[in-house]
Amino acid sequence: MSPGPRVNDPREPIAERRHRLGLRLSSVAQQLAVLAAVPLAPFLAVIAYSFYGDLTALTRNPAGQSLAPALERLLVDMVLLGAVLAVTLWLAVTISRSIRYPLLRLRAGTARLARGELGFRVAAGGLRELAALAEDFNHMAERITEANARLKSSRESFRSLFERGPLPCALSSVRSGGFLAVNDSWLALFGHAREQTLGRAASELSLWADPGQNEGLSRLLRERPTVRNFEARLRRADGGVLDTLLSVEIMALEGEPVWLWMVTDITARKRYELAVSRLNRELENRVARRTAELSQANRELEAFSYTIAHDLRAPLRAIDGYSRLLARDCGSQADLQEGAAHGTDRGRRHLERIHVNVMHMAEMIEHLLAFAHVGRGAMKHSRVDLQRIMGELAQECQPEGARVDIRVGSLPEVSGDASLLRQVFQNLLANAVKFSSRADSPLVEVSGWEEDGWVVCQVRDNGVGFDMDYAGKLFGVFQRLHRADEFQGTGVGLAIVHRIVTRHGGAVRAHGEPGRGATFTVKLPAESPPECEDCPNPAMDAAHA
Amino acid sequence: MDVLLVEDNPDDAELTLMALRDCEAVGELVHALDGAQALEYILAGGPRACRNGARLPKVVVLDLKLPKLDGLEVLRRIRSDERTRRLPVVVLSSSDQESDLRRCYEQGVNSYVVKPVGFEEYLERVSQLGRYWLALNRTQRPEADTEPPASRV
Repeated sequence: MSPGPRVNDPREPIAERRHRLGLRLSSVAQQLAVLAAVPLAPFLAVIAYSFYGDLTALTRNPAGQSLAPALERLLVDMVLLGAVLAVTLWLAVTISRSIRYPLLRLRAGTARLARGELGFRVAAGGLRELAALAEDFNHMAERITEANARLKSSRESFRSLFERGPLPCALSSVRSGGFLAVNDSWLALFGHAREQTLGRAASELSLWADPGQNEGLSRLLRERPTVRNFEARLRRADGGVLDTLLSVEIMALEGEPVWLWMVTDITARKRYELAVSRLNRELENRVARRTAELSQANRELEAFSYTIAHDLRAPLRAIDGYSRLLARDCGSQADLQEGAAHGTDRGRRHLERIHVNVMHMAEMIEHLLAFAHVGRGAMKHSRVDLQRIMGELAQECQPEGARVDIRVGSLPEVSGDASLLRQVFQNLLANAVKFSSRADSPLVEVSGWEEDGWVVCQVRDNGVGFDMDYAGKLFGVFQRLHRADEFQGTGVGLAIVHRIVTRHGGAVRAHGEPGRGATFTVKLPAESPPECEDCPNPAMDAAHA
Repeated sequence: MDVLLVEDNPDDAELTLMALRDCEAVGELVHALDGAQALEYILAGGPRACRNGARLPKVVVLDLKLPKLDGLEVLRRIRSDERTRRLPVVVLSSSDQESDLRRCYEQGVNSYVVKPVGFEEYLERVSQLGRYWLALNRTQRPEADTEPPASRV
């Protein structure tokens, strides 16, 4: 009997297979009973006939004279009967052996299987069908064993997930509230012993630091089967309070509804958050304080500039005014006293020097104010067309009398404050023109290019140049590398250049050689970052430049 | 009165008055030493007040940095008084700060002139100023004011 495809179907439920096997067993037993009855029937008929003949012989001979032959025949019959019985017995034993024993073995196997002895196997033997049956049985037992093993290993892995997982988990009975199982992480988190926890409810363990939260969670769980990341403050065995995110969901465990609790400890995170927000607050305070200080400094600077503008100019005006009046008076006196002509001339020259110096100081004040101004005030960022600005400046900076060849190459656009950048290049160009004006054929070249997000602009002249040893002084306020009688100036122009370029997040470099000209290189970010308007460069730091 | 000069610095005042006298157009000159004195001249209430606005100056030449009331405040008071709100006021200041210019024009100044440091330039600028406001410019006479004084309570 070859097992049909259905028998081998592993998806068939075990109970059903067991039932089908039982049905087959009973039908086989019935068939065997019928088969056993068929060979017995002729023997029984022969015995019955023989007794019938004996009885007839006795009745025909009332005198009983002929009892002996009858007894003889009876004896023969008895022998025959014995033979028949022997054959019957033999048949019975044979049938038992090949049918009943295997059947009993199968029954015993079924019973042991039912008791859970999955390792038990039935010995094959007996009729062909019965052998196939035993084989089927064994096959089924095999499948049950495998299925059981799979179930067991899956349960084991889930159990170990629960038991040894890093997430603190617990199961509690919905009916009683008592904990049914807790894992090691849970115990480690809360500091309770396992036996202390099991069977007790969360409230009995004083797990809730804030009982109001317990009510809140219960309310949520009445509305839905799952609550995720409920912020709860839970108490440890030692009284310490934890900030946690609690996830709770309902599930069935062996038919009983249970809550599965999962806890994420966010105490440290909370502490960090608190620390970060405290730090932020402190930082904000500090920034506010610094801003206040800065705006105070700016206000003072404003007052300072105002004082310079207003109060330092007034005495200069008076000095110039009265020295001019004095010159007038001297002039009229000179007309009267011809002999003193020489002395008057000297007096006139001295008065002239006073005037020149007054005007120089007035210029310095003006430039100092301009310098203070470029460090303050908001910058208005826009796209600046350097090409156009340079074109205009090249004409403006042309000195009277002497011609300077100013060549402007192609220049890129840059982002920045147009009027401030204009001042940068005005100062550079004016410088270049001034210091090259005494060359045989004065030449100023302006070139520009873009590299790696920077706009580079160069102003080169073939003028007197400078000694690189003093390059560091070049951008300081009132720092000059030339005597006043060589080249006029206050020494603020390059300081202004430096300040404006720095405010744009750029840099300015100077390179020169005495007698061989100078090159100023301005590097500006092509896209300027938004300047922090609360922290303008205080004009004071230029004094240290 | 033609010109009221409001100037605390005696040297500046001397140079300014000298320059103003140089131009023929200027008749009577009054010099106020601070803002409070200036308002006494212009507005009623002070001992030397111009009576009823009949003798208001043709132009007020006002310095900004003054003791007591500063120039800006004097300007504000002049502009907020009904009798003087059209009075020509010229600021003559050392400051060429954008913020000062803005504030003055916001208060309705008629002109803003920066004092130069150089003497010759200063004389030239101030005489020009005098000639412009006294000879060239037409000022509305106070009695021709269309606002009836009765409208003020």
